[in-house]
Amino acid sequence: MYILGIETTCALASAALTEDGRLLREEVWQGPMTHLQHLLPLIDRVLKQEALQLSDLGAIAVSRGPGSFTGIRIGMATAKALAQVRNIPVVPVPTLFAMAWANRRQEAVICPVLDARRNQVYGAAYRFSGKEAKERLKEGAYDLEQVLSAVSQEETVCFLGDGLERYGSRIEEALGERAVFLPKEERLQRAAAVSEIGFFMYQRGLGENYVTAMPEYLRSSEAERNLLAKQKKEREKSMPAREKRLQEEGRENLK
Amino acid sequence: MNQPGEPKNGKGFLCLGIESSCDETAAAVVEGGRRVLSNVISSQIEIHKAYGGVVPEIASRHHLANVNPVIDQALSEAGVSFSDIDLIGVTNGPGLIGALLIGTATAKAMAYALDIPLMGVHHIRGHICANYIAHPSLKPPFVCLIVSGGHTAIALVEDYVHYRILGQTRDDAAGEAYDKVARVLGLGYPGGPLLDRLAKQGDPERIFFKRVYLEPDSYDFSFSGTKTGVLNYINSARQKGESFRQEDVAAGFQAAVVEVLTEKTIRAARAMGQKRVALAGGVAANSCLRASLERACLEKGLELYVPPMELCTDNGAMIACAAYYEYIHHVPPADLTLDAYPVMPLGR
Repeated sequence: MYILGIETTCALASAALTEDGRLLREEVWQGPMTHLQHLLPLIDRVLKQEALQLSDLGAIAVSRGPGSFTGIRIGMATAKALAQVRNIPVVPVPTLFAMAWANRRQEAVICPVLDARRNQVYGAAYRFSGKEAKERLKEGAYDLEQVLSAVSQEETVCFLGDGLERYGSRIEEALGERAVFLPKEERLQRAAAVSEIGFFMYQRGLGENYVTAMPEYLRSSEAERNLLAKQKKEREKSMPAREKRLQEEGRENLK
Repeated sequence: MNQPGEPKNGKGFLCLGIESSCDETAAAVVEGGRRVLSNVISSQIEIHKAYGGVVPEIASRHHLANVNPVIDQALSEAGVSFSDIDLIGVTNGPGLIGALLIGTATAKAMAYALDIPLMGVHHIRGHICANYIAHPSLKPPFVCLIVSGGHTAIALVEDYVHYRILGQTRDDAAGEAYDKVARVLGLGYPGGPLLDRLAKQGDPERIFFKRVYLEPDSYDFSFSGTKTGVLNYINSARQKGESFRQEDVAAGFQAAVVEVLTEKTIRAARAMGQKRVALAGGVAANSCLRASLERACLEKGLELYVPPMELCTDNGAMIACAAYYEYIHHVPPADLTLDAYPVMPLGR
């Protein structure tokens, strides 16, 4: 089965084709972040080079986040629309897992970290044996310290992702020689891994349709967070003192 | 002779129009440019109300969730399938960039998968084209006043693809000024329609706000002065503890804006030797503006064309219409690299 893989969640945009999980071809755009312009030409190129057409595809695998919100949406919108017209499944591939999977042969815990701004990273950690992965840290938006403490007992931790630009030195400080950084050209998200995993996910029944396939941002919008915080404050302000005390005591008891 | 896929007098030629430039996700199927087979709009107004305005990131997220079902519904209401579509038109600017790119990425992928031409459509050209749908006999040339949340302009529509900008706003769009005044009056979002409703109960002559005409021969607009005048009035009254009727402030502000819009539009039509005047854009739904233009056109012997409310707000049908006319008038279709733009010139 041919699967098209789409990856637009970082500064690189790429498209790849696999046949039964085996990579046939990958095309990468390395330039300014103008994924809307370049994604479709990349898709067109991988298909043409393999003398394939959209109608030959069994499914479309797309990197569903986390990453650049805008980037995620360009890939998702493109994948959903292609799948809608062709009437084939969309496989929403977890971005951080795909990054780790691409390096599954490393004798180490693989720890992708993306710069999530606001002094956080989107991170996760996995250890592979063959094609099976054990999750050491569930994907999430974390302070770097949370990620470091999750992997602090590991012998070797292999880091990748654009989070290394900002946090590389702090990771080295904390883990010393136990931290291995992938070379710069291998650090970023790539469609090859998305397409490969897409096949295995599809086999396991994880294909979705073009409506249900949705991104995973791992973070709500700033406006939503602010609104929730404001509403919480107002609720607390209007709460009678006794109720507030009871609630706080309840919280204490839970600890 | 017709090429395969070329319109045969437009009959049977189906265009799918997709629009996602602000807070409505919309899709429509239009036959021959003017016959609307379906026009589906999924509005996010309720979602953004809690924030007092459109939040771009939230809008983008909802567009992505809505766009495919909206297109499905547009096809099924029109009783057609993807294979019947001859052309896709999509708003690729101006607007909120994150919102625009959902429609644009979707339209690009669909046109590619169907192997049919794609036209990138200027959002405001779409609004102007809503008049073709509403008025089957209307043909260019005519003068058009465009008033929306982000735009205020007077254009000479020379033909189906050429637009000459006679004037535009130098600061706030009329819609922006409306929203700001509505917010200060505590009316909520969306401010325009709420302010219009309130103004109906007020006396437009009780409080006078400055009309800004700029140079005598200019068709440009400036609403920031009028807006500031209203805000100052409200603030100083509140500081002094004086009471005022909100209805009168709304009516006075609206009268000042509408008077300038009307005067310049009529003057432009006469100077350009045009007998026809059209109104376009979201604020075209404003009852006071409609009434004022109707009066003025009647007085000067001009014909006024105003789209019905459902075609004034953002919709896919107007985009399909604009795409159709540009396509049949040999504007080159977009290639695979079509991009979306927050700012885009309407014409020369």
